[in-house]
Amino acid sequence: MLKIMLWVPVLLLSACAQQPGKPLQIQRLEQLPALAAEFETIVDSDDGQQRYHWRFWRTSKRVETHNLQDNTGEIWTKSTDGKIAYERVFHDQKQVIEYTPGDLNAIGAVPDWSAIATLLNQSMIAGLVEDGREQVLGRPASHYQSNNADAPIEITWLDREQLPALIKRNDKGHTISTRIIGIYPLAESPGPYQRSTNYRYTDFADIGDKESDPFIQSIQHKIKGGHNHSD
Amino acid sequence: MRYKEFRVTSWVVLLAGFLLVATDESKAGNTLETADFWMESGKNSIKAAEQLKPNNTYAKNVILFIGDGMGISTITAARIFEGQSKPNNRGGEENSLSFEQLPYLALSKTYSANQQTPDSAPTMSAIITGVKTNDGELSVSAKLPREEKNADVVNANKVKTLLEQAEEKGLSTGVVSTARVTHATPGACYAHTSERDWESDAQLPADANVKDIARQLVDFNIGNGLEVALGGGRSMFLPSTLADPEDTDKTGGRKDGLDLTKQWLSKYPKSAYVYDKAGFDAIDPKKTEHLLGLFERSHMEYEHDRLSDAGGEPSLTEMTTKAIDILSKNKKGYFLMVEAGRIDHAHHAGNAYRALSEAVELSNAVRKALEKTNAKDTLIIVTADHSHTFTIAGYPQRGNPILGLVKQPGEANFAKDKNGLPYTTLGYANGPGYRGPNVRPDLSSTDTAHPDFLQEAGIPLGSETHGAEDVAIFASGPQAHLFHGVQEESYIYQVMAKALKLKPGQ
Repeated sequence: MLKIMLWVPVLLLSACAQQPGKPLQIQRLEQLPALAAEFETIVDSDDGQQRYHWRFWRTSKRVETHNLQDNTGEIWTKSTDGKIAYERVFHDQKQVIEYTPGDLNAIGAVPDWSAIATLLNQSMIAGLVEDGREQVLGRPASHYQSNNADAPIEITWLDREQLPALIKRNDKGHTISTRIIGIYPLAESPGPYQRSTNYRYTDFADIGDKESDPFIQSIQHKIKGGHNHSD
Repeated sequence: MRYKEFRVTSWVVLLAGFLLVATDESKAGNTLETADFWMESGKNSIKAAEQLKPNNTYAKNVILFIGDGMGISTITAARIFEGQSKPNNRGGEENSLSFEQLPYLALSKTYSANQQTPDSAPTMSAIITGVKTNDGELSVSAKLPREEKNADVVNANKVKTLLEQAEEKGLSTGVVSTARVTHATPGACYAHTSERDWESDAQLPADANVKDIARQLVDFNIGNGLEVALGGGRSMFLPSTLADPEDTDKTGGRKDGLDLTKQWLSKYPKSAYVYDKAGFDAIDPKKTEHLLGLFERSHMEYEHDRLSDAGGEPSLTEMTTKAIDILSKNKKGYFLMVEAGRIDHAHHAGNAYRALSEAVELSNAVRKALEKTNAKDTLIIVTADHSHTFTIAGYPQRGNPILGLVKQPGEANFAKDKNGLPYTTLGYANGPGYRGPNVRPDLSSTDTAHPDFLQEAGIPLGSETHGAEDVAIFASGPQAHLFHGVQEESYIYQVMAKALKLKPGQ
């Protein structure tokens, strides 16, 4: 699906066998605390190691990420009627590709606000059980683990912030580890909200008519027009 | 009581039996289609053709319908898509969209001055001015380089549009689109620019002194100005300092501080500006002389998604109806351009369901226009600006669901590719629906008729592309008989100009 799932490699996980123990529970989405955070994602594979440093901002109706490595980001917004819109942001070029809810439907993308706002999806949570408690960045956290041998996963969950401090999983020969390295009140975020009036906005629906646009040509491989069906 | 119950049961049984027969016939497709049936059908068509008489009178009104990206494969698939939704259909293939029943037909060569496969800017320019130009340019000659920023140079290369000529003659004029009213197809009717993307001042280069397209719409000063402009594109008209009336967390897009909706209202007496369905419904055509309706910040919703829009939007049919009601008050006549702009967008997304439902809605709008006008004095044209890479393939049996997997006649199972996997009838040569690079997915248990399903594509592209083959022109009314054979796309302008007794190019 869309790139946020690179950091949150959750969609391919199957539900795990239940064990006795406390499951991970996310509170009501409307009550998720507004905050900013910084993460580091490390991908280890036979080809070597890749590191991504990225930022995350969350309010009840807006989630933004910013990958500092390639200086791109994503913005998800939820309207009062629950519809979700998406923006792919290219900061170096000061360009934004906008996807309306209708555009997302038309490409078969079904955004899950819970996964966007908490970085965890339901099928992933269903397989987790608590196996300990710890402190992360001075904040109380619970540690969860699944015993799915095919796709083992461990998560450290910040109870008060309702955000993972660690997501670690193995999948298809890769070990992907996402760890929180900073957490802030929204107003004290180390990076500003990246939305700017100086950016050029392009509707996803208009991309097909911009075959000669050098910027559109350069990002064709970075934007996902494809679908998210199980096929 | 028992008798009554029996009667009810009996009626239900009868009804069920009828439905069974109807369903069975639908699947078989053609128990009625005997040799006699085809002979009779052919004779009737010959009779109808023999009775055709060219209408050589001048037209009072011209309505030009554009299905953006509505290639012939789209028309065929939309015909079947609609046909299969009708009760007692014979498979759906026998259905005709409203405009397929118009008497005259030609093919249109869509290449632009500089591209084999065009975009909507030069194609609509050719249709509305009679002159082919370069990709991305609206109603200017091909001598003008793209993105020319000097207004004097652009003005020197303007090519007059049919809408402008109609205004000069005292006719009423209007543009209706499900895309932004500043998008290429409606924009080419009233604006002249070297760059289709300059829809508001925010897109203009800092050193440009040309007017953006939204500004050209509101500042249009030929005749008494456009009477109707309905569609999307609100952000092109509202300043960035003003919250959008529907999406209140967003603002307008203009940086010059202008609120062009206010300018519209102050410019025209008896004018109105509406931005939602309630406002649209409240417009009394008898009391409104100039109507601006901007129902989305950008493009309007797809027809499939329209009813779930928070602010509510009129359909293409409803906008067409209102436009005709306003324009037809002018005894001299009118010119109206109606665009189903989102057929193109759905194809770009690789989503056949939405492309076809948009095409069916265009058919509904044409049907309403035919009902509300007289073929003796109104030339109605339905065409496309260009095609797409959309294909209808395989050998599905009659009545096979058009959005489904191919099942050949007499077969219990789906047809299979070389890897033993089923495939859909509809697909694209390129686009987002590409599933590679590994082996194709097994679609056996996938709902390929789901509105959000993306048809498979052969070449991976973020956005599916236009296609270069000819598109169809359907027509009825005065001078409609001039549509014949294979014509340049610019020929459409010549027929409209002749029908309205306008001197071409002047």
